[in-house]
Amino acid sequence: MTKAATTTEVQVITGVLPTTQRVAPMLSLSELSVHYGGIAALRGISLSIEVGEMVCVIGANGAGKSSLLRAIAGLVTPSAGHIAHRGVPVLMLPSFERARRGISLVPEGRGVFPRLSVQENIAIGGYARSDGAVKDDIDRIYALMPRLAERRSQLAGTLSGGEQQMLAIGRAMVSRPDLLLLDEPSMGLAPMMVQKIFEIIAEVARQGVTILLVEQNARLALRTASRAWVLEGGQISVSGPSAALAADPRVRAAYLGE
Amino acid sequence: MSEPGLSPISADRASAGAASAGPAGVGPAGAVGRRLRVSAWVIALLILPLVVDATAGRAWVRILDVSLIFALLAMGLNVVVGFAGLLDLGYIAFFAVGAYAYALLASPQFDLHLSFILLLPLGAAAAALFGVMLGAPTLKLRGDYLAIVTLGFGEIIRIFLNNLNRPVNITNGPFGITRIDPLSIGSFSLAQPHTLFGITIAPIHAYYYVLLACVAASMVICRRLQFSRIGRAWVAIREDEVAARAMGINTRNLKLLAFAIGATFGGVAGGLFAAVQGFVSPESFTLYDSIMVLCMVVLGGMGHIRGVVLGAFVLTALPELLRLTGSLQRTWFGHVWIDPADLRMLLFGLALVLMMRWRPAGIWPAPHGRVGT
Repeated sequence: MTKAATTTEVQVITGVLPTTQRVAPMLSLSELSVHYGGIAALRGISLSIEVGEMVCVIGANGAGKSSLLRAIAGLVTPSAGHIAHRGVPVLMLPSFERARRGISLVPEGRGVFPRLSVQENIAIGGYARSDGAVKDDIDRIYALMPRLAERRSQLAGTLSGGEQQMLAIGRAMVSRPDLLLLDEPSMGLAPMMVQKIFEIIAEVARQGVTILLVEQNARLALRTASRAWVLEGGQISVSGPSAALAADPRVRAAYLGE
Repeated sequence: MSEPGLSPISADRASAGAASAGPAGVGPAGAVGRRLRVSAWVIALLILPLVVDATAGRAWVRILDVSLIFALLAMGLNVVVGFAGLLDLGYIAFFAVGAYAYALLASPQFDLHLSFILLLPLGAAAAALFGVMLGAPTLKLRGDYLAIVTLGFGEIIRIFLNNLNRPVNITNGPFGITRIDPLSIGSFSLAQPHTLFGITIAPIHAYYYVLLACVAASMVICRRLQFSRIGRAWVAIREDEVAARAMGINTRNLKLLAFAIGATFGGVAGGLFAAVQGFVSPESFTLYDSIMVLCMVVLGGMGHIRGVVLGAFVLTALPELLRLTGSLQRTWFGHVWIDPADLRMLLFGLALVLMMRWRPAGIWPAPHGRVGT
């Protein structure tokens, strides 16, 4: 129901022009700031993500990467700025409303429900949906991640870190997001597993979901995403196409260890 | 409560439930077995007070009645603590609200004698309101911090009841309210013995049946809640609140709902308690009572409806059984070595330690994969 409503809103916004010419960006932030008490985590971030893009934000520990995603998902209240999702301001919406609009966060540290089975975790992803296709979507997730299908009745807390990450992404996918926010999906995983997770992320992107990825693993993030922003001390220091950033000597020195 | 969107999953669950209900639980044979077992339970529970009365004495029927009231309380607290994961140490306050709502409006205190049928929902609604009043300011608190606030809330209610006799006498203070109207529906009073099919049913037995019906209805309601969309959302909040919000769950409303529904059970139990007891005073609603109800939930099996009902029975009956050790000691040793009251605390502490070590999920834990998805 929300989905249908937002589609019409987009059409209203773009209705003046032929639809092929202009579509509201999936997400646009302007001058977004977040403070924790007196400490500024984000200072005036402005960026725009187009529909269907896969982009990333890289930065060191404490640069404000997680705060950025939390602000977009509505888990922290920004001290200033605007957030628009497909042309609609969402700043005043509580986090659960944003999730229902299609902004889905896969939290840092995965946030699976440890004492529920894999199947139950994934089913909760469909909580806010009222259409009848949840079961089909769950089957599609299992087809994409056969490992989860094997462990369907196992408790999520007993899965390996990589499997939990898969589960968190799968659970988010069942809510049929149009914007997927991934917070450090490679954190604490073995290199082989990181590879596997990024393959899944690429597959999700191919299916048309817009992805905003936040990563410390800059090399991998730049290889996967088309555009990137570098976050330093709560501000964007460098931005541009991933390839250009990967070639930028400052980025290479600071984040690629060269 | 179930929605078409998740019907395939609910169907899986239903069949899983049927399968676990009986070892032979596939097809119509399983259904017949289930029906037989349910009938056996019903008959056993119906004749239980008569058997207990004949063998152990009337005092034990009274203990059964009290157990049933505590079973209602344990189920209510289980909604808050077991389902939604909100630690509440002041739960007895809702019991107090329900009990006093009934006591004030059906006693000589204000010379009001409203009908039980009217007062039970009224007491439940009052308790639910108090549940929301406790829930609203504590929405952002979790774990220990929530526990401290709820503990304070429980004490505030009790102290209020204890002191609301001045300047205007409302609650009669520490003396409590006496001569509360007994349970009656229309002109049919449960306070007098009735004869049915040649069997005389004493008031204490009649109360048992009323309480039993309430407990049975509550078990059904709790079960429906647990496996509903609401129940699933509660479990998600219990497991990880941030992730639950990211899944589109309105955590604020659902937490308030958990407090309100939990409190409703407390209010109903309170109304019944006042009617059965005929007397209420603030002394029945201390922190100790809150902790006891929490122990029933935790020892019985948090999140498991039948578990917490069992917990209520065990923790109500055990202290009474231990009381017998006093006279046993006297006959065996000539005098009482250990005071039964001390023994009770000693064994209770020991039980808690042993449970923590060997059965952390309770005597009868919630089965895995049955958490309401």
